Amino acid sequence: MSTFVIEGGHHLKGEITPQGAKNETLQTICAVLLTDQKVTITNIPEIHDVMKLIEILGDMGVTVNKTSHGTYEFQADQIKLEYLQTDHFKENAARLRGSIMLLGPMLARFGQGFIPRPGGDKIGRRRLDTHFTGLIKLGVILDFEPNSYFYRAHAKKLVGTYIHMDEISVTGTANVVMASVLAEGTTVIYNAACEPYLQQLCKMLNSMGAKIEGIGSNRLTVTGVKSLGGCVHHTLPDMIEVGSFIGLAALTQSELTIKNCSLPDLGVIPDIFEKLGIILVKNGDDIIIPHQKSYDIETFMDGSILTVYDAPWPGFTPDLISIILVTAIQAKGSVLIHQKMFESRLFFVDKLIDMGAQIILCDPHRATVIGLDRKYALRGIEMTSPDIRAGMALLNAALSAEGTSRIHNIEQIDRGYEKIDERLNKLGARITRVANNG
Amino acid sequence: MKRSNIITISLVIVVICSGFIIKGLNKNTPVNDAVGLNIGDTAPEIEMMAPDSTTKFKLSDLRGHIVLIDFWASWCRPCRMENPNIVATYNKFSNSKFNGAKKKGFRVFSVSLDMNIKAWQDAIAKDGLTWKYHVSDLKYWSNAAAQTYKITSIPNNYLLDGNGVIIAKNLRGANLETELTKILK
Repeated sequence: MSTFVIEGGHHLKGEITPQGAKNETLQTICAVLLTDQKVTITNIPEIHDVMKLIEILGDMGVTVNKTSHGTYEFQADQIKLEYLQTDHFKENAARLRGSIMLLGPMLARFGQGFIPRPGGDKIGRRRLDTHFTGLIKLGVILDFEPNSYFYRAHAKKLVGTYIHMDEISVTGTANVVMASVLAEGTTVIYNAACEPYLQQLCKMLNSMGAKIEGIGSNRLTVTGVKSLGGCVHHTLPDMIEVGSFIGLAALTQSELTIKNCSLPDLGVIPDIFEKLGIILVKNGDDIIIPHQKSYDIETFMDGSILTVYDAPWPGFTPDLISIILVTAIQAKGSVLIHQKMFESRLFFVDKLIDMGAQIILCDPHRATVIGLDRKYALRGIEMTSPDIRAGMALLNAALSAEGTSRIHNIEQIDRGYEKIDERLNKLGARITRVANNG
Repeated sequence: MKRSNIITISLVIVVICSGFIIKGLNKNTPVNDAVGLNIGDTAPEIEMMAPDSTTKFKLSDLRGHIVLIDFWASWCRPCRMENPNIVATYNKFSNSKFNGAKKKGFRVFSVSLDMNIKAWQDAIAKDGLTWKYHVSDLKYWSNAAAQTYKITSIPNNYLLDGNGVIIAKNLRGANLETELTKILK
């Protein structure tokens, strides 16, 4: 386990470019299994979760060739189906939640798939029922081995049908879309997730020769085709990084330019930060956050306290709730943060309270932040990162705090943010990475 | 201005406006002047440099023809593998008459996401992409037309009718010929 030692209280200045989107890449690299042709993906973030999934693909027999930083060629022309039944695969895939999306493409192309119950964040229970219900409707037979926690799925052929997803799930929709592109006939997926990264997957599949209509809506119509070909796909910038940097700039009174944000794909993210009173200047595809001594949280029109809550796209992403919460600590005014989609992501506020933040944790889903308006700064403390997003939020808090903070278990931050210490140090941050608990 | 002139101008305006209203109300002949990326939308304009780096071509120069806007790049292997198919289809239909197009002949408007002009020119020559309309701003994925058309995966194409309206998308392999055969006169 490694640790970040952060000397807080410094203003940052300069330009930063967001990495490619993790949540898009985890989907698109699974889609390479759908063809025996070469697929190239550019702007891949070289972060732990992504590299682990690429490693699993390699072990499965996919030829992986890195041509430059962030650009990878994949060719799935010699898949070793027997590898999927080994303990090695079981161990690796179980540690990575994204590995569930191997199942749809494997079933589509080979009529069989094996998947252990996956891991990932400790942010509450996440069910897989949505994935399985959709796949079963396409004709998949699913066996669960309770002793080994292993799912075995097989199907003679997949046949298109009408699928009403029981919840809006990005990975669930991705899995069913990937299974249906090679199915016989037409599949209609209703209550589908429609966020930009799923749109990216669908656009990539269409470039490979699939027929998916309704992209961007919650009703996808997939007309099955016989086979898919290769393509070259470019990953969008990570909206979570964009939001994290906006919050960081406001909290540390920094002047930052976030380059190439793909503004049209950010949805309501800039609006929510603006509601906290943060000034954002949109310049082409860049966002400039000017130095701001104070930012004033808006109230609702009737004067009541602003609430920020998460919802499936086009709502506000749950992955930025902890960033919004931390950003509000130094704002002027109060805000209620309501994390509706996950139940364990707000417990990290304990650490923020230790740092001097005024936060009331109402229940596992809600926290009220009473902004300090910089009457005093947070103070540095020693803490542990519980999950990717809280980890980044704690890093933002530590960078704004007076004194030195230590964040342990930063592997949780590395899972989602590529070389975050190096990139922020270039802007004037003082973050030191210490191995083995320093 | 004379009073009679004002009346005449007002009348003309009324007649023009009512014409639009009637046109809009008539559901049997859908009129879609909206620019967009869905089937039935008018494809957004593209204006960009040719490989000689002096001539500029516009997509609307080809108005009247059935047009394939093809997004590709010399470094995109799947695109290069698709090129023989586009060449064969172009040769087969370059003088054909189509429904929905006043001018005869299928045309290709190739937008390259190349960065290197030499690589682009060489690929055009090597793959025998003999048609006139090749454009690029040599900006890789930031290519202005790719941004407008929200292109993040290539190969990628749009088929337009003679009015510049999108009639099909993402036609790979035999699908291009199938789609053209459907509208062949």
